[in-house]
Amino acid sequence: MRLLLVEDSKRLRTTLVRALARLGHAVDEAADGHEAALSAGANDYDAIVLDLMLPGRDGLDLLDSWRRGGDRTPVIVLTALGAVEDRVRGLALGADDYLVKPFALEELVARLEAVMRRHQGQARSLTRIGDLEIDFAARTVKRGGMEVTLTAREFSLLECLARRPGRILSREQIEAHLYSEVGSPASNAVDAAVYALRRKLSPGGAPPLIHTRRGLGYVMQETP
Amino acid sequence: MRSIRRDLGLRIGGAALMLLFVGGFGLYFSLRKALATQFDHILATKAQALVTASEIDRGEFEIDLDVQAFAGFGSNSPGDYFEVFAPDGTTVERSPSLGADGLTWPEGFDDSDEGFADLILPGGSPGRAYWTSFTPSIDSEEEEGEEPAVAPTLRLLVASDDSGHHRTLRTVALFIGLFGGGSVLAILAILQAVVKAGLMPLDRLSADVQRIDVRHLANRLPLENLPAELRGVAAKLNELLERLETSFAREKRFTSDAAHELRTPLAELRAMTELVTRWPEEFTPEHGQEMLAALVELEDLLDKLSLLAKADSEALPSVEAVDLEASLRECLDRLRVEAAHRRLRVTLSVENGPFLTDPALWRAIVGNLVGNAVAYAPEGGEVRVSASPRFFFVENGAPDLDPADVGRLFERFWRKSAARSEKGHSGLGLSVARAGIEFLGGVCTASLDQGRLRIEARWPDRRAPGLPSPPPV
Repeated sequence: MRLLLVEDSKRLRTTLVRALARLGHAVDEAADGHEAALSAGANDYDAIVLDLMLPGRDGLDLLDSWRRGGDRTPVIVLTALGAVEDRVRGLALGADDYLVKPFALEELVARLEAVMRRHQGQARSLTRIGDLEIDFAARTVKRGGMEVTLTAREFSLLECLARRPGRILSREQIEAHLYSEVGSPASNAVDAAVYALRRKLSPGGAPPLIHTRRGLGYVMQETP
Repeated sequence: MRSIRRDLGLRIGGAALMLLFVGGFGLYFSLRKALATQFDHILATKAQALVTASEIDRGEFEIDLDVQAFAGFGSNSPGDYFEVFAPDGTTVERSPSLGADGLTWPEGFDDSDEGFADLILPGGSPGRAYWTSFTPSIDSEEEEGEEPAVAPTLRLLVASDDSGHHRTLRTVALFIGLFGGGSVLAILAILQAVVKAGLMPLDRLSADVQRIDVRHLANRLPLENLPAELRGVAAKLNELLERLETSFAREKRFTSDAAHELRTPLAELRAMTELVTRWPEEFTPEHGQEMLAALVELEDLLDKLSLLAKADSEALPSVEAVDLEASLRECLDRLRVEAAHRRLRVTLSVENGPFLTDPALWRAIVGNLVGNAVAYAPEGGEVRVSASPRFFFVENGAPDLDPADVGRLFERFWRKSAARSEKGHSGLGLSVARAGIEFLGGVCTASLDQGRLRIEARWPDRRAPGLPSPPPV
């Protein structure tokens, strides 16, 4: 998943970027409100983690402008303001969830998963495509009941495709979801990643679930 | 519990009752005296009429019957009597209303020629008597050469029944009593209504005041329709409420800001610790240093908060002699690296002298003020530090500050930018410095002149007030 992390504390920002990257997410970072506005305007993120007190432009102001502009990207608000009215204000302006500092990394990840699932209309974290079973919360994959081991990057690619079953995603779209602004990939990185994932998901000659649409991109579905 | 309404009711009611009582008695006794005087006067007039109408004709004493009747002593006036006595006490003449028994001599009749007294009349009813001595005229023609007859001095006693007069007085007393009692009841009822109406604004104010609590400090007491006596009290209460509200809001903001400031380094530490716990290969010496730096910031913040708590407390500073110049040089030494990194020129001028202060607090004051200047002065600029045992100032360029910011510099957690992008600056430094200076009996002010910020501390003496005198040099 491609995430935008907006946080002015450099230590917290760097640490969260490293942790989320470890979990296979592509994370862009913004240290102030203006940077955040630029990044959010230029990229299509799966979710945004937004600190409220920011230099330049206030987090609530940013959120308000996104929602007014019709941007429905899930937003988790990070706040050191624990007062009920501050939380309510964030939620009222269109935040999907909030976390009060200090928080557990696992909780942030779980909430990110939850808001994205809700955003895509999936209430449960378990998704099935044919005999492929993906648990986004537990980050486990089974094909025909057999566990498939994936790297974080591979899981992220699978998540990108499986969350939009039957929809063709262009290489650029996949790339945008897999790589952050700083981690510019090699030109055939998406093709190589799809190839590797397709092989891992078809152990023992099982029918492939990721199909190539020439000139268009890739689609994930049971039927070719 | 005392009640103004009851007190007022009792006092005004008591006063009204007493006035009625005194007035009633006064009226009764004045009337009684007036009636008695009038009665006596009539008696005396009747007696005078009898005296005028009396004569000795051919040796016989007589009183004109017409005058007798006119004066009320006729046969049909049973309540009025007179009796004329010769000098030897024998009766010379008496009114037809008297029977064979004459009048009982009233008290004092023997002793004086004229007087008034009460007496019991022949019928047994009470009466009033008047007596006087007189010499009747003699109606006779003397023969030539004959010595003129000399009339004897007689005594006249007139008396009248005064039971009517007593009845009148009883009626008056009854009327005064009834009127007084009715008036007391009416006054009490009116008093209650008047006191209640008069105290209504006080009741309303009291109800408004009772509605005030910590959750409703924004409410103010309405001043319109309040009487002048209460308006001052309510205005003063509103003023106090205003201050209380501001103070509560400040306390609330401080607590919330303190929690907020503590949450950020805690969140950093937690995330950094979780990262290296889950992926130990992420641990690098730089990561360790960052964790340590976050801890130091947290420690520094806690130090500042406890310094503020100390400065806010009622405790007395623990003072000792401090070498002013050495303490300042030590502080500048600590900041030398940062100042050099920012290419700042720091100048120090000290007028040394005996200086008594709380060493820990003084270090915090100087550290915060000079540290703030070193952190915020524009790169390559100049920071001036000047001190004597009576004053201390730090001056640096502050092109980003507006005159409006100067008033907020000492607010706790205030920073020019609302965010925490500048590490290590919690927005507490200047408020700690000012609270410390005030705790030591000084005054701390800030001024902005041509883009240069000057923060100045002054002590009225070489020592904080109430502290022991400086030791002899």
